[in-house]
Amino acid sequence: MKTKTTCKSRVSLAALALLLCSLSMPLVAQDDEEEEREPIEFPSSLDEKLSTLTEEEMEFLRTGPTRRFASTPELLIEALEKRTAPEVRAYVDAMIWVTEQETFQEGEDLDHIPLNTDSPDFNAYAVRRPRSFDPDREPGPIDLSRYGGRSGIPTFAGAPIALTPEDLIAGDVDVAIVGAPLNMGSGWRGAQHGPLALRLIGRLGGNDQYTQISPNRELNIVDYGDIAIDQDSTERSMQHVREVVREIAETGAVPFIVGGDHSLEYPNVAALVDVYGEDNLSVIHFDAHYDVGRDRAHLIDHGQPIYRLLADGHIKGSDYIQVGLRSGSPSESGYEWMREQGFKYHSMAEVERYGWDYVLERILSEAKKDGRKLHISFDVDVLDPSYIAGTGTPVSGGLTPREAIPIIRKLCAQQEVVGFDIVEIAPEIDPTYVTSLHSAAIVQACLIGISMRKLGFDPDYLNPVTIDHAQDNYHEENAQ
Amino acid sequence: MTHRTKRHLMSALALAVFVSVHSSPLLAQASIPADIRSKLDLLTQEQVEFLGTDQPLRVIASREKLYQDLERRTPEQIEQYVSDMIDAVEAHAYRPGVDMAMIPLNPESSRFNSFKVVHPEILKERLREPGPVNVHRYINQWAGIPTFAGAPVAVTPEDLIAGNVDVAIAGIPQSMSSGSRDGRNAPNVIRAMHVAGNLDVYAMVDPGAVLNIVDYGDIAVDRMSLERGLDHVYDMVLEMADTGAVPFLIGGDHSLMYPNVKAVQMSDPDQALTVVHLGANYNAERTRAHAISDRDAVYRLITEGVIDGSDLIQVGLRGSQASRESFEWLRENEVRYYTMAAVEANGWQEVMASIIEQAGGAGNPLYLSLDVSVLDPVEMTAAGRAVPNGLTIREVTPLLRRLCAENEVAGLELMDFAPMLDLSYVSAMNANYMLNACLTGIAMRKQGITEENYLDPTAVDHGQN
Repeated sequence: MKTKTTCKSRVSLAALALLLCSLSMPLVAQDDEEEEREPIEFPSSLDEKLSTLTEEEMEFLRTGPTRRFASTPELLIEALEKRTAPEVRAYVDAMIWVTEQETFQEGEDLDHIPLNTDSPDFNAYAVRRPRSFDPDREPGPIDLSRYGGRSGIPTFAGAPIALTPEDLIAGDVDVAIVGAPLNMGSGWRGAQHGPLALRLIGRLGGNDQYTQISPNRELNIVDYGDIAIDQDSTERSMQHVREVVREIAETGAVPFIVGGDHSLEYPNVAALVDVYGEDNLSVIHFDAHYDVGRDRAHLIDHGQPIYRLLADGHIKGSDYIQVGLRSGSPSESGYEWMREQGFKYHSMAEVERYGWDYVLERILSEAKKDGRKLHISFDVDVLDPSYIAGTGTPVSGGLTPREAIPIIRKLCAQQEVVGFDIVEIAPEIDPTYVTSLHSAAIVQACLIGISMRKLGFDPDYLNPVTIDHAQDNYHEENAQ
Repeated sequence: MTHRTKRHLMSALALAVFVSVHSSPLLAQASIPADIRSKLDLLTQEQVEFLGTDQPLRVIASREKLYQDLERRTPEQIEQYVSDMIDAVEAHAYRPGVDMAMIPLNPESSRFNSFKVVHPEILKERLREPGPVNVHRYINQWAGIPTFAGAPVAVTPEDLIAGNVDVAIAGIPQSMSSGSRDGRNAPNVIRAMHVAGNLDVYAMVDPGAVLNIVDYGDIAVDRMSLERGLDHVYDMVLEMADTGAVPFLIGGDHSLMYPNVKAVQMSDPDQALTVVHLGANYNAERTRAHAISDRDAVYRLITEGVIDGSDLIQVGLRGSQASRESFEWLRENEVRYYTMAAVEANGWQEVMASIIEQAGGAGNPLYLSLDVSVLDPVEMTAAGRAVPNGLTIREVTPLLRRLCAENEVAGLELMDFAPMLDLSYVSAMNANYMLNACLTGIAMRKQGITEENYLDPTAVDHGQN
């Protein structure tokens, strides 16, 4: 695809490139609801009423997008039958009018959203603090602790903080956890407080009794603060998030991005492709939603980060594994489109049919097969809302933590994970600690997996002392 | 100056014309103390001059802190420090070729406008006569289909005209507050509370009985863009106001004040409005990278000339976004503001009397812009931009009842209600209670009760002695 190189060269123009590249992409951007359909044949009893229609009106009735007004041909025929001839014509004209009005109206609609480039504070939200403003310090993670580990300042995993790439390099940092409080979800909002919630809940980095591994001991982890966000524009935020995620990855540290809404998958994956190159990255997307929305007026939002990544040529559908899908979309035609693009998807319907253990093995072997570097994009709404009440677009019937934690641990142990995001944590919607607790458990599962890999453990490893009291030979005897 | 052309496209035309930013004239050079000046030898003339301007204060909190920073640095460190400071100030501005100059959209989308296309009635399965649709089964319905004030539903302007509607209440579920966001759920939570439209036992007037009230449904917005929804909100509010009904608009974040006020003003362009804006935040920050937000809706209305500053009354201000310069700007524009500091100094009764006098002074119709943050967070936990030390519901309701009884009301909006922040029913109840206070005032006026500070005599005294 020739567009790829163009897009890559526009790294600093990320969001503007969105437009330029997407228009020349060979992907078919088609609304799921407007799939091709057979022309409708009308009964001869309607001949007289339909005879007053123009050729254009008849064509619309036969093959146009009438489904949104009358969902089946039978209902359409019924609607025509009960109307007089003049009413039929007005009815058809109204459908045509609505269909036309839904498209861009030249001279009336904004074809872009203007910004005030004259503002002296145009970039105020993202201006970095120069080093010379503060007393000199050695580069490296800044230890805020008073008592060995902690001092009460809430940081991710109780870790030291780092503010610059030099800090990451000097500290030989393995994992940099960074907040990205983008709050533009289309459901309930509130994800701007996701990073804070995860800092306040703690429970990251300590000992895991399943494996008896403590990530804080095995890994150099830092809290990289929050990435500045323009809360009035997803598009503008994409550019800066991509810069910061890239600067983390360039040091060799694994960026763990705590969102924020799922639009963040776009800059996260784009930044990793910037660093590791094309065709070197696979992505596993855990989510109730497929996030490949197409044909929208906006070029990026939390329902279409994957489509935008594909359309801009950063990654291919065949680089994607999706897990946990169960929302109202995609429709059947949407799934067919995903098949054509090479997506490997695993819906909750597949889990219902085959059981989780079976699907889990299938996913692990698919991920292992290509053996490439891996980014995990974890939308907390893949979990059932009983575990994650605090999320903007919950869907019933999700995974349990006892299903999700092992797969995350195993994935992070079996493959080289170069990026991880956890998104759509909206703590305001959950008055309890439960959403924060489970979100932290998912992040911890990957930290353990990365530690296991560093220690050379098998991905299926569970500590033998933990899993058996050893007062008899029960498991051994039972296996025979 | 005045910019009152009826029915022009707000987004395409008005937004493209950016409200000019105040030129901030470089004030006279601050005189840098001699001991600090002696350390500036390595700086260029321009750098020294920069230190004397207000520019450093865009990145350093105060001149005192700037001098502290300079004092404890060597001349070599100062050279780096000042150079970085100039870079940081410059980094605030737009960078051609690096930053997006505009946000691109996808005009190719077949659903570009699908969020706001109003379907012609003929597409409905059954046609009906125009007029409000009663959604209740029983004479004395409790709950049932939730509507604002338990009112019948109207969907078209023809319904409003046929129903001779006095007040049409519509939701605008935009969720772009600069604080916590949940405007999306505000209209439905207020509908579900059904406390408005009931007997007010202070004036003994039942607005539900006296007025023709309807629920006009919700006005569609683009949830990913304020800018793209402005035209439609403007058109719909204008359509409501043109029928003669008083629009009551349930937000949504406070950026909607811009299209709402503009539409109500344009429905009668020659008659100036007096806008009474109640809220914790003054919302007149100078325009920034974005053309419109809740933080600058008032700034845009005044600078664009939709309303005159002297026709704006602000009540309850206490949010930290308003600096001394903000208040000076409000004064220059002749805005009448009543901060909580004024209430602390003079007491609420005196402040309220002054507000009512100012509101009626010009004899203009009133537009009430009611940000729920005017109330204290204990009575309005669900404010998107809550600030402590607010007014109580016992202070706000008499003000609203009196403003709406003693003046003609052209419109009201209730903004920035974020119900997910309050697990209790209290915020929703108080939001409804404030609506009911103004509905009562309008009903009193319709019944001919316009005397000052009217309360029903049987309500204020048991009469046994």
